[in-house]
Amino acid sequence: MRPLLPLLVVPLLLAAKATAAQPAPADTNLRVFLPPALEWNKRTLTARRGTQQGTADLAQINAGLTFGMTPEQVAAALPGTPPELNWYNLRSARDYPIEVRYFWLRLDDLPAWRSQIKGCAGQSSYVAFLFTIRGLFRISFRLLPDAACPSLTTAALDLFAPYVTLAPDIALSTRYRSGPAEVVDITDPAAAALIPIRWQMDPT
Amino acid sequence: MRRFRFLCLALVVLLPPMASVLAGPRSYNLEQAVPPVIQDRAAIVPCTVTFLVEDTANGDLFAQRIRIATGDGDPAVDGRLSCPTDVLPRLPSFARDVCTLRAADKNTCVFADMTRAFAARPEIGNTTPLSSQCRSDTAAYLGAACWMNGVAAICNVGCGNSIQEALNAARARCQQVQGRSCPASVAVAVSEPDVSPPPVPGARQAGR
Repeated sequence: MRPLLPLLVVPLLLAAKATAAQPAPADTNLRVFLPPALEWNKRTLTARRGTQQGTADLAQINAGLTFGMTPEQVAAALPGTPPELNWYNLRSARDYPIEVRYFWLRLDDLPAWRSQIKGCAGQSSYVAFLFTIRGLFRISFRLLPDAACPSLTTAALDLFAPYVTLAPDIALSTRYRSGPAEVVDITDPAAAALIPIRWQMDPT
Repeated sequence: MRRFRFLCLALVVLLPPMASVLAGPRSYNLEQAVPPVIQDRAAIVPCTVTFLVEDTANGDLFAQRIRIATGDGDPAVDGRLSCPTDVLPRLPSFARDVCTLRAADKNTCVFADMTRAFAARPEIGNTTPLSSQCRSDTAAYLGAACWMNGVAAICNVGCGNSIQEALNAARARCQQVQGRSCPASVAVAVSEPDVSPPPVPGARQAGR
């Protein structure tokens, strides 16, 4: 057995050396979002969305909600929402130049979205549903850090990723920070002047 | 002896016709033209150009694919249709829209292959659109290697026919252009549908 020992040990040592000589693996993983592919149109010399998508594609990843739904329809689709909810008893959102009203629910109470987040999401994080008189035009995920969950970037990316697969003429997804909060807004592309308005976290 | 002579004579007379019968027909209808190879066009990879675009306000990276239809008669090399070069310079602005439609400030939307000056001056002029793309007729994967400058990723792009090849190209380019190591990396398939190759240590393949 002894004469065989070098035959076994030497290749193992060489293999270990070869492994050590390889470049060190990357220490950070990046995330790339994959929006729907565009198709080049030879006639118009433009690139436009190639895949067929519709509101059903939005509903599929959006707990059944689509833009234009009334507060009553949205409430009916979500668990734990008061049944008497309607346009007239919603709060006013003051950030907008026209009449916009909203209600909110804790993210932890919305399994359709909470289940998409692999890690922690912040106990105070919530989802705001914003309406004009014509119906739902924005869903705003507002992730608020706390001692147990100081960084919410990964949670925001988890929420953001499925919406990027939708063409911007179906739903416009944006991600930004407001103070310590991570925000993901999903907006009706028909909302025109309301689209660029971002939530500003009240510093108090 | 007479019998022997008779046998020899019989052999000489009868053998040639028998041989020709045993050999079978002497002429075949061999068509000289080689039949054309019929290619399964459904299996051919259409031309796809994939751009990597970043929103430097939050570090979000988008891989925007643009498919370019080519004619039925266009030849395929190794199962890949070639990309028409006259169209390529027109594509970057459409690819960048994936970011500008979402960003609060359009100026934060840049191409992911950046010059060394980008970290100090994060402007689109310090990025190279044509180096931020990989074409399906020459590569199967787009790789990016980056270093983090706050939330923004300072990156360079490489193309390859495997994930590892694309990542190696991106890392080498990043090291050369940025003059430092670029430890963050990612690879995506250039064409749809996404294939799911085995994971590479230290690299994350983008998913939906």
